[in-house]
Amino acid sequence: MSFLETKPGVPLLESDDLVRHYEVSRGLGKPSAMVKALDGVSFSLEAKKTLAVVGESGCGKSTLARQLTLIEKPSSGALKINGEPVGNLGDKDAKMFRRTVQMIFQNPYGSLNPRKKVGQILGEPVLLNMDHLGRKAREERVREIMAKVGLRPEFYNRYPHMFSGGQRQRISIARALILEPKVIVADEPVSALDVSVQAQVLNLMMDLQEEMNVAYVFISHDLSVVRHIADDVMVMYLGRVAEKGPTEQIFAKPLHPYTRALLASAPKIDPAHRVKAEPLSGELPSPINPPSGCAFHKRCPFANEHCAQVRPELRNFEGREVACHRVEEIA
Amino acid sequence: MALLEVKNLTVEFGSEDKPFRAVDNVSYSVDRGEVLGIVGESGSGKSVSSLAVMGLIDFPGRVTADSLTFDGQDLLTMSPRKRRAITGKEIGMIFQDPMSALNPCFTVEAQIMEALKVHEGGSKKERRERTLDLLNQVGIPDAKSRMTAYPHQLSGGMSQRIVIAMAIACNPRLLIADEPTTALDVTIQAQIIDLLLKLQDDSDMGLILITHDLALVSEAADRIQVMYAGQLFESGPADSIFAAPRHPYTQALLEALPERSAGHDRLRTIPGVVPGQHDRPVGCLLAPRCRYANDHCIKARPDVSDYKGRDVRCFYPLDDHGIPTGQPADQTTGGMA
Repeated sequence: MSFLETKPGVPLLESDDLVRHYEVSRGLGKPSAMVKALDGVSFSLEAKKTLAVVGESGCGKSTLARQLTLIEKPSSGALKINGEPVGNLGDKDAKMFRRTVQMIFQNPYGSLNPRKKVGQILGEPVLLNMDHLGRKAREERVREIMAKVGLRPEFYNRYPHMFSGGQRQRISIARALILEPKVIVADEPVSALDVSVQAQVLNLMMDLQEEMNVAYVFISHDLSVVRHIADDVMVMYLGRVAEKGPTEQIFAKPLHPYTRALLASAPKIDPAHRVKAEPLSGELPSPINPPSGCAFHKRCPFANEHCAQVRPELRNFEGREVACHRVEEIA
Repeated sequence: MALLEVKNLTVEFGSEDKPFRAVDNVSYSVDRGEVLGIVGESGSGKSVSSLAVMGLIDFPGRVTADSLTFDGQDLLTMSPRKRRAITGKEIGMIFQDPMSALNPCFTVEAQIMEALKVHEGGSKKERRERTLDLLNQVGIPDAKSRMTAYPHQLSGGMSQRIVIAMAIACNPRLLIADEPTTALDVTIQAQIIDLLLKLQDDSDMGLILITHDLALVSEAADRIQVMYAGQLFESGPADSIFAAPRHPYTQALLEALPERSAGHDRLRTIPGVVPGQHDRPVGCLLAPRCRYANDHCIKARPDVSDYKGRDVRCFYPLDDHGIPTGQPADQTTGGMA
């Protein structure tokens, strides 16, 4: 299984034009429609780095997470780990792949089995994937990871309902880390938590990244969290990438009109940080029937005739990738 | 006279001898044309206090207050019938999750018209016209065709607009919005908050905005109160409360925000969690988590007192540099990660 070996100069995780379409029925007698949930997304992720994926609901963030973890197979496009494509793995190889890419889910109340104790929840991945370990060794491993994420040893025999949201999210993080993955896909890991607890969990994630050399794909809608944790940001709109680049550059000078609107809409606590802008009108269009040309043109203050007809492709501009026809004029 | 005046509101659940205080002696007032922001973490009692104002706390919950008056009328002593005429008409409420606040079995039109029928009466034609006006007022595109839509046919943002239309249908003088944008995306959140503030400004309503989002409330509210574990910890004008917090909790909350720690590697955290039903401390409720807490804080519970024009519930309110005042030296026991 050559995808487990790190090769110099080759990114850890690479997605090449990843596409996922869903067929939806529109009722009896009507032809079914295609939802282009993910429509050609490419990125690469280095070890120990964090890529943030931001966008409104319905933009394909969670669909992307499902492709990256092989929960679903992409309609087309390739997913590579250490340069090796993993699209058509057999069952056994797919299992190895899943060990290297783990996931943290948004809602810590829904993602832990209420009938199992913490020790069982954390021990199950070990039981299934490292069957050479005996019961003793397994328990030791579970206790080790619990200490790492800040769960006290006596929690081993407790049920999830006995924990607060922040503690539960620590259990989820421990479960994702116990197989020593290389990549963790975190789907809104802190959005269900309070501010004070959110800070604890974010710090923990950053500490663990340093300690265990994992890379994060961090899906979030909270831009201030993204700015804090991410190295790179990918802004998505209706299944496609609108803008992609280093975090500081994007926050200092957003280029795509959608990125700008997102940044301007987020409330800021310091009056000095506030950007006075008209809020974006309208809503995310339906992915069943996306607008012609640039998917954003109906909400975009800069749109013209050309935008309504021709779909912009991602291109390099000022060290970033932007999908906008008029980026030169706007910048 | 303030529009809504709440004095020492307490809401208790559980048995009489060992009650759980979800809201503990909270006082506030809202004037016409004013936006009051209530912020706090989950479990701080911000929603329960507003449900109590609306009279939506059912048995076995117990609501007591020194006074709870709306426009001079005492809400607690009036007959249930009279109170029902006020809630929904004079006081409107918007709930957090628009998807579950609407009845999935009825059309938008039917649900808004029901509110109008109960409180305003009028012919069906008049009510239908008023409903169309309302939908236009809350910015629903192509309102006429949306009248007959069912909630599942609407997006989250649209549903929340419908809920707002329903809440303002009878021209309320006070609107309580409980986390109105938590379930929505940022761009939609900005639209909804703008809409609420516009409606509030146009009709000189009082607005209570309940949220956990400090940044949102700092942008939208005139006055802010910070709640923690059922108690009021600090209240004051929006522009100064976050610029110079007087309570250690407000200070710590602000420091935990990623926005405030730009350039720092790690966020400052508040250790521990909000105390629940069984682990309420004896002294100050924040004492186990407060970095300035000393022996006195652990043993005694502070009252709300006035400090530099702010209501603060702390023995040692913070000065302009964020340092506790009046504290004997070398007594701090709390630690901060």
